[in-house]
Amino acid sequence: MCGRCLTLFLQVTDAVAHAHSQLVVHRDLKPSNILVTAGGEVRLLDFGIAKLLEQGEARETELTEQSGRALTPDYASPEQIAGTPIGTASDVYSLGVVLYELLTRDPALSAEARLARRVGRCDSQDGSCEAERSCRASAR
Amino acid sequence: MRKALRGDLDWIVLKALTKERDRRYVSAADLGADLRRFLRNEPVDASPPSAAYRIGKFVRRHRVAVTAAALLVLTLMAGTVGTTAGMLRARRAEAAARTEAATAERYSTFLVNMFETAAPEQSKGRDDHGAGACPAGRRANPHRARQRAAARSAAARHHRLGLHPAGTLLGRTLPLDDAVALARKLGDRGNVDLAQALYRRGQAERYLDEPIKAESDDREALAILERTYGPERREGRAGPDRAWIAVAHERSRASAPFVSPAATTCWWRPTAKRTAPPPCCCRTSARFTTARDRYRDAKDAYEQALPLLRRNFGEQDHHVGTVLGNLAQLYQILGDYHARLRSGAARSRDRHSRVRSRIIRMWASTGCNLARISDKLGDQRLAVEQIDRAGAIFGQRLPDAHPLRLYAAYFKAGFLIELGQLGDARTLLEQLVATQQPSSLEARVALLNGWVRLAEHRAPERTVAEVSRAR
Repeated sequence: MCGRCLTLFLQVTDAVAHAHSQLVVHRDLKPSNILVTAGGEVRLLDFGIAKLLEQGEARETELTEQSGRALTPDYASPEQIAGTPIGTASDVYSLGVVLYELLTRDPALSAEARLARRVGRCDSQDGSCEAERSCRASAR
Repeated sequence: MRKALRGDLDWIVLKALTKERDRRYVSAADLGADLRRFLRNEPVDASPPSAAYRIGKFVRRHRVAVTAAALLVLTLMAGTVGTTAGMLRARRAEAAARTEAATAERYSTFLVNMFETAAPEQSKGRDDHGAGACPAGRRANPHRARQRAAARSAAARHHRLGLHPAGTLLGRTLPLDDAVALARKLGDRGNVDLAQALYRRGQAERYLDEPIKAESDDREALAILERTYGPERREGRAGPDRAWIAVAHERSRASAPFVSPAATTCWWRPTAKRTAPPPCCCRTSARFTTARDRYRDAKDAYEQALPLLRRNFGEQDHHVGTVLGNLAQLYQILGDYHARLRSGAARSRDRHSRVRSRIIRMWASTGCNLARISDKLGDQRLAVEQIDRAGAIFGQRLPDAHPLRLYAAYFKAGFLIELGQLGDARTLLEQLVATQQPSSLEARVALLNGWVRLAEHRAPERTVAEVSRAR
């Protein structure tokens, strides 16, 4: 089960890696944007807010800032929530959340954390990542 | 499934989910590569954070507590280190003092024995000391006397070493007392020895803050020297000796202002909250009130010593420089600013010619300050005298609107008001406020002060005039 999850997930990372190699950041990676075809292949959807990187770093214009706010907060990286410049590592964070949920079948964020993220706080005590906490607990 | 999330896979997910971007995988490719390594059971990039990183995070999490703890630890460490260092230093100083004291003691014993055997009543014609070089019966020859003086001087120097601060803790004030007693025993022959011992004991006593004893020793030494090498016998002495006498001379008198019992009277005003004056305040009082005569004494002594020193050591010698510097200070204290400038300039003539302008400035401001102190002490006449002298020099050397000149005028007006000479004060203030183009902020402030004081004192003057007219 886990092996299959990871195989599928690796396809996702490969697809995102390809985008990254083209200096494109997806910026809205989430389970609903990841489709698995009948043939077992992964398709990424919704590059709608994807951004071309300028010199490896996305410059937030006024427009993308607004759209940046509109993305799905549960999977957004802290820098996306905070509205600071983003890069390929932002997609890595989203992928991490997806991977966590894929492996544990639990939402990565607690209910309060999700609420906090929706109001734009991610690094407060409430906004701390459930996944991080449980991972740390199990890693110890 | 949670249970399955163990080990390396945990760390991979954690690394992807790190809040700090820099610690995450740089791109999805890196994440994929690490996952593949995990699947192949290879070592993964993601790993438990290093101890340093975890400590750093802990510190950031508990910044206040950690800072407080660190401060506490540092304080304790510093305290321990300081105490240990202090103890070591004290031990070293004690050991050094003991060694020096022992040396001084040995030396002193040797010299005491030597002098006692050399004394006629003890040696009975024998000469135990340097029998080959100094034939018996020629005990009184000058060569021998000089030898003895040199030995005595060295002994005194050793004694003085035994008197440094750590030495005093061990009660090593005795050797110089011994030296003085011994020299007294020698009678006339020991005159120079006695003077030298007294002189050195005076130095030590001054150092030990026993100024009254020091003064009496200095005076006695000076009396002996003057008796022994009076004007008629002065020519017979070598240059350095005469210079030494001159220095002793000035020292005995120059130290006087600080050692006067009258110095304990204090100008600290009873209106101030403090009743007991600080020691430095007493010194100041000695300097400016009761000890004026003693300063004159000191000045005379220096003036007498100066030509001797110049002749024997030359103009460039540091003795001359020191005396010139001291004289400059005394002139300043006594309010003789022309002389102060001359001696200050003489001192700095060859070495730092640029000091001259600095001296003017310094001396100008100290002149004003002295006058103000005299005013505080209630001697407004002296204050006016002092500020007039300062003002005369200002008039020669500084432009009209120089703040120092303006301030001098302003202060003088104040003294005149205290003296009741309101008309003079008003004239002065009106001259002051008529000054054109103040050159600086200080000058403008001085002018403003002048206006304020003028405004304050116009009315009283009118009332005084009215009162006198009514009479």
